[in-house]
Amino acid sequence: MSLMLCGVLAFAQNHSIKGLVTGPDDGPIPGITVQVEGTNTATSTNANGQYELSAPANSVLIFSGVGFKTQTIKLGSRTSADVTLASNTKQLNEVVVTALGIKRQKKALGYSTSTVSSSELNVSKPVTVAEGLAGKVAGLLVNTINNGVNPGTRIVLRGYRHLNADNQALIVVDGIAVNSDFLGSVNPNDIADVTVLKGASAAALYGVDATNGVLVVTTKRGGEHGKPIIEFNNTTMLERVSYMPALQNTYAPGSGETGAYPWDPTHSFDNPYTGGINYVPYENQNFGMAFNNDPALGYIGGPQQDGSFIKTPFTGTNPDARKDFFQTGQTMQNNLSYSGGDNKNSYFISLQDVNIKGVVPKDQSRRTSLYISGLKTYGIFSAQYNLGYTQKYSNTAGPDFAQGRPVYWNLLNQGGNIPLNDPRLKDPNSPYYLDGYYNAYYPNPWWQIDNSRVEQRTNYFTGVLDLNLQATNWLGLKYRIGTQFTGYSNNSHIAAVNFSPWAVSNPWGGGSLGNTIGLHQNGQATYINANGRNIQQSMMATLHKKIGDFDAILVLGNDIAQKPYSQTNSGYSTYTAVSSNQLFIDDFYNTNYRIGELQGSQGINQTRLISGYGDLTVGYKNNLFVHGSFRRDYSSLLPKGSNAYNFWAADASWVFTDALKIFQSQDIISYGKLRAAYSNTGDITIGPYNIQNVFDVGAGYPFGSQAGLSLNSAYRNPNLVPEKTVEKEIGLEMGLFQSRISLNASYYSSLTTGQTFPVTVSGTTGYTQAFVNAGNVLSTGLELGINATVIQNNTSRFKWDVGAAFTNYGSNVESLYGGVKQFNIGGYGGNTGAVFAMVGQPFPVIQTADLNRDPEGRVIINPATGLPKLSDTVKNVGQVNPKITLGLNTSVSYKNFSLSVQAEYRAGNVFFAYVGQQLNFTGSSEFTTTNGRQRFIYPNSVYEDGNGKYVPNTQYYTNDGNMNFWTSSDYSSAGTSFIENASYWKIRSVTLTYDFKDLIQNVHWVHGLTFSLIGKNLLMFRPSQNSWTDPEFSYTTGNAQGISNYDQLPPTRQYGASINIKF
Amino acid sequence: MSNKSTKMNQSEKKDYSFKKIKNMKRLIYINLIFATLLFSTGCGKGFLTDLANNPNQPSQAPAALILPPILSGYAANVYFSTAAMGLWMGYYSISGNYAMSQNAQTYFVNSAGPNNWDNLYSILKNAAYIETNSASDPSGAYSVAAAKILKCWGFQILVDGYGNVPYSEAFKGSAEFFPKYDDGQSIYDSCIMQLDNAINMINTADVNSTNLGSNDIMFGGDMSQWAKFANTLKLRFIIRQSAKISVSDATAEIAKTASTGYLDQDAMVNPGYINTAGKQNPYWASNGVTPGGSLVSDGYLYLRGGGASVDFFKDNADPRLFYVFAADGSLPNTPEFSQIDMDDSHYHGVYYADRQTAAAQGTKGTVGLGYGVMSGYNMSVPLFTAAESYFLQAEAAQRGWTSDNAETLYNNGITASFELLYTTAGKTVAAADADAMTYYSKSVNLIGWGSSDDKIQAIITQKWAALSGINSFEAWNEYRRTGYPDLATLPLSKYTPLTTHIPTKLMYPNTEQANNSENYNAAVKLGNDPQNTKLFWMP
Repeated sequence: MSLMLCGVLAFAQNHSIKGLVTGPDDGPIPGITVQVEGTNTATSTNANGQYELSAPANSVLIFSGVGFKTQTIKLGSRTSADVTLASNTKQLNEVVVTALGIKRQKKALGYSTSTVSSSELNVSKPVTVAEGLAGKVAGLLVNTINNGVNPGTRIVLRGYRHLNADNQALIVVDGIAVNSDFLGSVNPNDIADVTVLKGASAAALYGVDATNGVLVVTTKRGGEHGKPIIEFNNTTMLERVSYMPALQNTYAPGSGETGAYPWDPTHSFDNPYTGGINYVPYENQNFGMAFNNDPALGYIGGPQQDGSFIKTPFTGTNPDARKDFFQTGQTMQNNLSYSGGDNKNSYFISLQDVNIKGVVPKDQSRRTSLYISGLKTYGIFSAQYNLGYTQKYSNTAGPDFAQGRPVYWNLLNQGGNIPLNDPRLKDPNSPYYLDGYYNAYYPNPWWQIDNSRVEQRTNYFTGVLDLNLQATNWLGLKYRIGTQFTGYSNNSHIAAVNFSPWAVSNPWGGGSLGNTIGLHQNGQATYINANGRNIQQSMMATLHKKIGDFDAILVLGNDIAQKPYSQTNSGYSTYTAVSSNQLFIDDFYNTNYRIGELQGSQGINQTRLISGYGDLTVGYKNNLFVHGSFRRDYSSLLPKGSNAYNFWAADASWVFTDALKIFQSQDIISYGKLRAAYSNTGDITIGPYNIQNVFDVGAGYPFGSQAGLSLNSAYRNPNLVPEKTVEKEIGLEMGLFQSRISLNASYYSSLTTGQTFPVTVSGTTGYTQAFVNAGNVLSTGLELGINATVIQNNTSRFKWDVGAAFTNYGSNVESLYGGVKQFNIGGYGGNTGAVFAMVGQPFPVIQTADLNRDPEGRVIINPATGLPKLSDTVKNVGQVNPKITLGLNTSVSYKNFSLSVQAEYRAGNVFFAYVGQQLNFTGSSEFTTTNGRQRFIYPNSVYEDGNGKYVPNTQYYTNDGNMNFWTSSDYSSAGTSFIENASYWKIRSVTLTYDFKDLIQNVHWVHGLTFSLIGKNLLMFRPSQNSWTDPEFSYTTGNAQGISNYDQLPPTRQYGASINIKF
Repeated sequence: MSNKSTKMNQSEKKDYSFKKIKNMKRLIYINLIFATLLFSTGCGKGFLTDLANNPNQPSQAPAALILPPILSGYAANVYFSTAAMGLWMGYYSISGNYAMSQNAQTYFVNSAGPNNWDNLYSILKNAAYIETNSASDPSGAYSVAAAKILKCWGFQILVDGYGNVPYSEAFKGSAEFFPKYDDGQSIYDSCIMQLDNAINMINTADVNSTNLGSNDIMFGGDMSQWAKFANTLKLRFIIRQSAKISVSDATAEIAKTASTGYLDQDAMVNPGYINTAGKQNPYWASNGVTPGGSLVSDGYLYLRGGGASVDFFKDNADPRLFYVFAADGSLPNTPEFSQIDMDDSHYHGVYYADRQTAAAQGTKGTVGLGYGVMSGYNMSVPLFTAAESYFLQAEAAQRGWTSDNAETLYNNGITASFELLYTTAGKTVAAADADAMTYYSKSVNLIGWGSSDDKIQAIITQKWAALSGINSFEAWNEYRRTGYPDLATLPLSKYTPLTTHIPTKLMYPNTEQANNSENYNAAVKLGNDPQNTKLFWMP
C-alpha cells in the first residue's frame, strides 16, 4: 500500500476523519487504501482495519484494496465513516461453488476452476450464455457452429477425450443436470455466475458425468442491500453479413452446351478463350463467357411463354446481388427485473423478451422467459427456490422443392449477372418466380423463403427447491429437488409446386425445373414432437469441525435422478415424428391429407441413476488443504451386476505465502498457492437400451399387411463396463504486486481408456458394428490465466485491466480396437474430407485425398495433359481442434467511460471448406477465375523427366483452364485443395459504456443509468487462402468438427446499443 | 468476529418468527416425506433394472416374422449381379449416354466390388438366429427348416462368389469378433447335410407345427414346396461339383432325398410389393418407374441389351427376345412396352465393351429390359426357376446320376422358361407352351435335343438363355463350371488391357481386410486372384 501513500498535506480547514473498514464477514481489513478524491491525500488501514486522515468537509473518500470492490463515500459533514467493503469476485479468499454446489474457500482447492461473474458474462449483452462464455476461460472452447437466428453452439472443456461419445461439458444449473441447449435458452441476465470445473478432478463428485468437466451455473437470488431494485435493459443490435465466400463476377452462366438458341439464332456466343462454351442464360454453373457489358446479350433465362425476357447489361451485378439478398438483421432484447432483500431473505423476478430478425429475409426467432427465485430464512432453516419458464420460437427457410438444398446454396450459385432483387423474381404472380424462373436447376431463392418453412417451438420449465437446516454449528443438512422439462416441436413444410405445360415441355431445350418435376409435385410436411424431463433429488449433510490447527469439512450425500444420458437427451424423453411428401391439397400442411403411406417414428428413452458420495476437506493452519472425494453410482444403462461403479479424486493445495515466513516480509509475491490433483473417474457413454440385441422392421416392411423383422446391424454387447479416465493436474496460482497481477497456471494430463464405442467389425459376425470397450486417448494441456491491473489511478479515475486466457491443447489416440488403426467419426466420404480418430495422432484429424507429389511436396503433373493426378490413398492433413487458443479481454475506464474489448485467437488446426469445393465445381467461386479461365501452368508443379527425377514445370499447360479443369480434373476431386488453415483472430466484442452516475446523483429514485455501444464480431483476421468462411463453423454439433458446408449462413457482424436503468 | 448487535438481532428474530419456524419445519418435513415417498416407490425393486428392456425396439421376435425379410432380402440380392455378371455373361451392355470407365469395359474386379458380402451375411445372421433360437421349439419346426434351407442358399452364393468364407464361427457376437474362414468344400458338405436335415424336419414335423401361412412369401406355407426347393438346391450343390465328385458319391447323395422331388414351379418371392418408395419390386425400383411416375434416372436408360443374348434369341427366332428385352425407344412407363418385330432396327444388341456411341443408338438407345422380366412394381421375384430345376435334373440324368429321361427334362426346362416370361408379361401358359415346343423342336445345335452334339453344352447354353434377365450370377457360376456358353455365343471383350477373361472369383471385400485382417490374410494366401484363382469345384 505504500505505493499509494503520499505525504499528508494539512490545511487549516481540514478535519480529521476516522473510521473502521470491515469486510463482508464483518472482520476488519488491514491495508485498505483510503484516498480523498481528486487529491493526493491518502492513507491505509492498520491491522485493526482503522484509518485516520485529514480531509476537507464535503469531500469524497475512495476505499480500495485488493480483493474488494472499490467504494466511494460522500463525507458531508461527518468526521467518521465506517465502511463495509464488498468482496471482489477475483478475491483470493473468495468462496467458490464447487461440485454439487458445495462452497469452499478458493485457496483450499487443489484443482483448477474459473468463475465467470454475471457482469463479465453480460458485458456485451449476449443473447445466450454460451456466447457470453466464449474466450473468457482458459481450457474452455466455445464454438458457434453456425449462424442465423437459431445458432448452435458446442462447449468443450480441456479438449476431446471421447472417440465416439459426447465431449461437451455437463451443464448443472442450481444443482440439476440439464441439457446443453439450456445455455441457449436461459436468459443470461438471470445468471449470478458460472463456475467452470475444468477437469475430472474438479468434477469427480458428479460421478459418471465428471469426465468432460462441468459448468456449474448459479442463478440469481435477489439483492444483498435490503432495497428493492427494478432494473430495465434494452439492447438493440443490427446484424449484417460480414463476408461471403469470394464469388466471381466476371463470367456468365454456362456449362459446355453448344449451338445457338432457338429463340435467338443470331447468338451462339462462342467462348473466345476455350471455344465451344457458350453463355447459357438458364445454366446453374458459371462457366460461360466473360461478361462484356453488351446490353444485347444480357438476357436472363429463356423467353417466357409470352416471349418476354428479363434483359440487363451483360455484366456482373454491382453491388453483388447475391450478398444483397441478405437483409439487415435485428436483435432486440428487453429485460426487466425486480429484486430485493438481503442475505437472508430475498426475491428476484425477471422477464426477458428477445426478438430476432435474421439476415435471411423472413427468418425470425423469439425467446420469452420468466424467472422467479427467492430465499427465505427462518432461524436455522432456509429455503431457496427458483422457477424458470422459457418459450423459444423460430421460423426459418427450409430446403428447396427440387433437390432439398438450403437457400444459401441456391443463392451462392446464381450467376453473377442475375438481378436477384428484380421485383419480377420476387413476385409470386410473375412467371419469372417459379414457372419460368431463369435457372433450370436451382430454384428461385425467393420462392424458397416464401414456401419452405421450418417452425420450431421449445418450451423449457425448470424448478428447484433447496431446503437447508443448520442443525448445530457443526452440522448442516440439505435437501434439494429439482426438475427440468423440455417440450419441443418442429413443424416444417414445403409447398406444392405447379408448373404449366409450357414449362414442363422443356421450352429452352436444355432442361428445366418444370421438365424435371412435371406439372405438379405434392406438398410436404413434417411434424416432430419431443418431450424431455430430468428430475433429481439430493440429500446432503455437511459436518464441520475444528480441532487445534485442523479444520475438517465432511459432506455426505445421496442423489437419485432421472438424468440426461447425453448433452442433448433428457433423463426421460419421448418423441414422435410424422411426415409425408404426398399432401394433396396445395398449401395445406397436415399429414392426414395425403396419399400414400405416412412416414413416422416414435420412441421413449429413460435413464436413472442412484448414487452415494462423500467429500472430505482437511485444512491445516488455513494454508495447507487436503481434499478427497468418493462416489458410487448405480446406473440403469448397464445390466445388473455390472452397473455399480466407484469414482474418486484427491487433491491438495498449499498456500505457501501464508505458510512460509519468508513471503511475509516482501512485497512482490503477495499470494502464492501450489496445487495438485489426481482423479479416477469414468463414464458410461452408451445411450439407454444398448445392452441387448434388437430387431428392426425389415427393409421395406410393412408391405401392406405383411410384417417383417430383422436383427439390427449393430451388436449390443452385454459385457460392457464404463470407461475410465485418470486425470493428473498440477497448478500454480500467484498474486504479484499486491495482486495487481494474478496468475493461474495449470498443466493436466488425462488418459481415457476402455471407451465404449461401436467398432466396425467383420460383416461375417452378422453385424457391421459392435459396442466394445476399447480406445485409449491421452489429452494434455497447459492453461494460463493472467489478470493484471496495468494502471489504476484513483485520482484521475483511470483504470486499465487486461486479462488473458491461454491454452495449449494436446491429444494423442494411443490405441483403438485390436489392430484397428483408424475410426471414422463423420464428414464426407471418399476423396473429400472425413474426420477420423487415428492411432498415434491427435484427435480428431481430417483425412482426405491429395494429389501426387514429389518428395519436396510439389505437385506432379502429367506432361501430356498438364494435369495433376489424385493419389491412391487418403492422407491425414491435420487436426481439427486448435492447438492454441488465446482469449484476450481488456477494459479501460476513464471517469464515467469504460471500454471493454474481447478478442480471441485460435491456431494450429485445419478445416475442410466443402463449400469451396462445391463453388469451384459450379464455377461460382472467384478462385476459378484465377487464370482467366485459360490454360495455365499448374503452380509449383513438377514433372517426371523419365529418369525418376522431378523437374520444375515451366512449360506444360493444363489442357483446359475452364470447366473441365474445375469440375472434372483430379485437382477438383482432391480434398486437400480445400483444406484451409483454420487459425484466426476475432474481435468478438467491443463495448463502450457511459455511466450517468454524475447526472443521476441527485435523483434519488434512479440508482443507475448506463448507456453502451456494442459491436460484435466486428473484425476477423484469417489466412488469405481461406476465402470461404468462418473456420469455427461446422456441419454438426457432434465430434466431427472441422468441416463446414453450405448449411451454415455466412459470418455476420453486429452493432448496436444498450441502455440500462436501475430504480 | 461477530459483534454484539448481530447476535441480538438474531435472537430477536428467533422470537419473532418462532411460530413460523414451527410451520416451516412442518412444511419441510412434509416435503421431505413426500419426496422420499416419491422416490422410494421408484427406488424399490427395479428402479434401475426396469429400464433394461428396450421399449423402442423388440429384443425378441417370432421366427415366422423374421423369415419374410430374409426372403425379400435374397430377392433383392438376385439383382446384385445385374451390372457386373450381367455384363460378363452377355446379357447387358451399358448405354451410350454414360461414360464407361475402363473398369466397366473390362472384367475388372477388385476388393470394392462387385461385392455382396456384407449384404448376404447381414441376411444370413437372421437365418442363423432362427436356427439357434427356435431349435428347441417343436412348433417352430417349419420355421427352423426354412431357415436352414435359406442359410444354405446364402452360403452357396458366398462360396460360389468368394471361395473360402467364414461359416462355422460366423454370427457368434462377442464370442467371436474375428471369424475364421472355412474351406468351401466343407461348407458345401455341411450345407448338403443341413438340407437333408431340413427335408427330414419337414417330413417328420410335429402335427402342431405352426404353419408359416402368409409369412411364407415364397410358397404361402406349402411345406412340400419347401422340401422340393431344398432338394433342388441340394441338387445344385451336387452338380456344381460335377468336375470333382465321383459318380457313385453323386448318385448316392441324390438318391437319399430323391423321393422328395424337385421344384416344378418357379420359386417366386413377393412380400406384397406396392407402388411406394422403397416398397417396389427391387428390379423395377432400380430400372423402371418411380412411385411418382417418372423414369428411374440412371435406371432403365443405363442398361441396354447385350449382344450375346440378343443375338442368341434373334438368330434362332426365339420369341423370348420380346420378353427379355424391349424394342428401341420403348419405355417401361408405357404398358407392355416390348414390341414384336424382330428386326435390327428394333432389337440391336451390343457386345460387351463394344458399346454404341451416342450417335449410333438412335433416339432412345438400343434395347432395354423387357416386359417379361420387368413388368411392374408389384412383380414377383423368381428366386429359383422351374426351368433351372429341370435343367439341373436333365444334367443329373445325362450324367447317369439318375435314371430320369434327360431329353424330357431338357424340353421341360425350355418350356418352363417360356412360361415364366410369358406369364410375367400377362400371356397365357398355352401360348408359352406352343412357342416353346416350336422352339425346342428345331433341328439346331444347342436347341433341339436330338440335334445337339454335346448334350451338357446344350443344357447349360439353354440354362444361360433361360437365366437372361433372371439371374446373371447363376449363369456366371455355370460358365465357370462348364465353360458354356462357348466363345461362339459369348465372345470375350475386345477391350481387355487389364484383364483377359471372365473372372473366376470375387475378391474379398476391403472391409474384411480392415476388420478381420488375420483371417483375411490367411484366406488371401490360399488365393484371391479374381482372374486365376479357381474355386474348389472348378475344373
